[in-house]
Amino acid sequence: MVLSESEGAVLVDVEEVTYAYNRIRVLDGISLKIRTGDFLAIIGPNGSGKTTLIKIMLGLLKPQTGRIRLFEKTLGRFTDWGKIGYVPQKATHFDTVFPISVKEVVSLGLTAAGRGMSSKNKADVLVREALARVEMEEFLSHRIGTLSSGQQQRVFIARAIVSHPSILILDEPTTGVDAGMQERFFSILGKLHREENMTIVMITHEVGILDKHFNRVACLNQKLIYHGRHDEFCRSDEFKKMIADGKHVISHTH
Amino acid sequence: MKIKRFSYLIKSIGMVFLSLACVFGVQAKLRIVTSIFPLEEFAAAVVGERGDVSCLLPPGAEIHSWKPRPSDIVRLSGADLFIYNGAGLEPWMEDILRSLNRPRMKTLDAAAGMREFHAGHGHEGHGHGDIDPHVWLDFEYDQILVDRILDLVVELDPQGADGYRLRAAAYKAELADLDEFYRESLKSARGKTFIFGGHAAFGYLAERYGLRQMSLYGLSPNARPKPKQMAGITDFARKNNVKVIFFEQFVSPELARVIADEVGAEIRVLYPGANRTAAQVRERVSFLQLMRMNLENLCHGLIRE
Amino acid sequence: MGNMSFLTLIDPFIRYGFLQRALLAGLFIAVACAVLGVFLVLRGESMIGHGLAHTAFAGVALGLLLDMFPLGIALAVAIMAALLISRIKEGSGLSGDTGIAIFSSVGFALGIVIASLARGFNVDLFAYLFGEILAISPLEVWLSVSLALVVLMTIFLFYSRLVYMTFDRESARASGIRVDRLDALLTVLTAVTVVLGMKVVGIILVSALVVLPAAAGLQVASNFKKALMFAVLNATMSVGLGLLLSYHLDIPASGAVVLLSFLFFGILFVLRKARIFRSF
Repeated sequence: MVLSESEGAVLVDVEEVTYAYNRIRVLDGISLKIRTGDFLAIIGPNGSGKTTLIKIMLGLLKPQTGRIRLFEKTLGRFTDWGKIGYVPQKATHFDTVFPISVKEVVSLGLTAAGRGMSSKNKADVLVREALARVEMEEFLSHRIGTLSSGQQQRVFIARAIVSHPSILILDEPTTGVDAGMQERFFSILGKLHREENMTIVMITHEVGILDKHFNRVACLNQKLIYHGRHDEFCRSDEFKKMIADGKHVISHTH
Repeated sequence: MKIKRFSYLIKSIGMVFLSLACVFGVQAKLRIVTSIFPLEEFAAAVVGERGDVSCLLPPGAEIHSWKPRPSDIVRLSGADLFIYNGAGLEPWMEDILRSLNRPRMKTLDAAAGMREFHAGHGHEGHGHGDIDPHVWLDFEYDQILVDRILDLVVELDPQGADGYRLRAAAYKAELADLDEFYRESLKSARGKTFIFGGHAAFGYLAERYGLRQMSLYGLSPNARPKPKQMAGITDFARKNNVKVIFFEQFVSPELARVIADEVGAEIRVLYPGANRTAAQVRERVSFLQLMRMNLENLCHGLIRE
Repeated sequence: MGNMSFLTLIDPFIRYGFLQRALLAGLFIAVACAVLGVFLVLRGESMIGHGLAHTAFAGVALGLLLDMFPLGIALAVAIMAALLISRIKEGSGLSGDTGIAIFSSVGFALGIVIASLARGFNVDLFAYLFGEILAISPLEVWLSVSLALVVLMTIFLFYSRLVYMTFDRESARASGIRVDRLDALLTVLTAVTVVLGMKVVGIILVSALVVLPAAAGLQVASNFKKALMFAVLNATMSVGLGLLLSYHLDIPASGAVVLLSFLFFGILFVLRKARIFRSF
């Protein structure tokens, strides 16, 4: 199940990225490659720059130094956004009275720039199919605000995967979701990873679930402390030290 | 409160200049301030070169929605005589006179006396309520106004009395001529209605010459006309084959044009006369001239061969 | 008999060109206001219509001063203000609301000063403050209808991107949508619509025309298209019935339109509270 480091094409290439909010450094010289087949967990204490790193990858924030390449193109030249699915941390924090149906939310995923307007019928098929992949077909015409947060989260995943992206990026998607729902959630992601060969990147703070689902781990605390196979990471001293003291900085192994 | 303190300051400065003028033997001219243009013209006609007459209302302003600015209060604080229209045309006036606190300044309320004048002429008496403030549009009443201005001016400057009387008489004669001219010209139009896309300013004038005024707005142009009223006026114009719809200077001709388009009429201006545009001031267009232009347009609309 | 009374009811709209023009322009403008309003209300920018209308007041005053087409100048001024407001929002760290507050008061102050410079058109300014739908000239009808159509076409063209941005700004950005440009576009469209709406209900009430139908739509809709539909329904009914009421009851059209819109909003609000619309 676990891929060796050199395998797979590089989908996201982060090079020497540094970022500071109001001169407070959040990311310090981060270099990281995400390859086809990765099921990567990005972990680290609160405020360690996980979300910032993802936002930089997606072009939502501009790093002070360093550069990003997506699918071997520099960020400025990259236009094929349909290849990337994204579920932001605050996706479920929308106004619950927002009048939008599950179907409409999912079809937003087809709006990504660089994807011409597909025909209405084709879009309908894609939306239904995406909802089926997250086991939410029967909620098609429900208003999203009426769903539970776990259901909403799956709808947002459907929106992210409706364009059949090569990579899916999720920012703490399991926050506030109960254990049973979490299990179902990971089984859906696992299926996407296995059956559709989708590369998955996920920020999580729950270290306990690492070994069950992920094949790689990146541990972040301003610097990249560890990046590699999850099984090695779990056995490493760094992991134990990190658990003991989140601020301990270790040179990364990459 | 602020205005009051400000006016004290201005008054003291004024006093200094006044005493200086006395020391240097300059004959101080009679200073008369009026609120609107017709009163300015009447007063100027009476005092001639012996007085400075000025009008508070700046060129182009519409009296119903104008308010004095600090410089106007300064001007008022130096006046010997203040002539205003009254009857609610200058709602700001009482507050300002009170804040000026100059009990010795003479004032003249032009509309006071209109009720009696009106009743004396056998018109239905408006026993109570507000009177139409557009008193300057009755050319006989204007002659009475000239006399009242004359009395006050003579009282203020008895030395110039002879000249004042001569000039007043001459101007009254012109007003009488104007009145006669209107009466003659509009003889054949008696009983006719003119549609005015402005406010009901021409009540006295219409009554005097046997016309009917049908206006879009009430006594003040600030209330918006209602659709039914527009429709009613349109119907009337259609039925009576009206060829000219009048609009008011200083009020947008839009609504008059809407009605005119509806019935295939042309639009012509009527000057309420309370004020002039800056261009008219430059060209020294007189109140009497404005009124003659009104007559020409009225005749054009009401009398066709 | 019912037929007869209906005819008497709508008879004035058959007989008078100015009422037909008012209805035609009013309906188109109402639809543009309603559609745009749904986006603005959901973005939490209900007050932008109010703000831009006040800024446009300066344009109206300037137009009257220069004796040039006031609606055109108002349009130019409002669009410039709209772009500046979105610039301020990006650059200054002030929240969107603050930019609007600044511009609306500065615009209005400017209008007052310009009006006092020229002095001659206070009465005309009144017409813009309180609306003068009866005085719409054929040229203005043509202009209003085509601008309203441009607004609607633009929204249709950018529909899913606008919905995406309104619902989930970050994800919209992450899928390569240039939200800053869309922001500017939306603000410019709002400026155009508000200036048109000014003619219908006046500067003071125009934000009602933008906000009330949208708010009504949001009460009951289960999806975005229905929200738009309800908003448009509210707006067109308010304008149509408002003009009718205004004629037959002899009340100002602007007031009638806004009060009716509020009435429809109130009904939908109560229905929602009573959960009658659950199925929607």
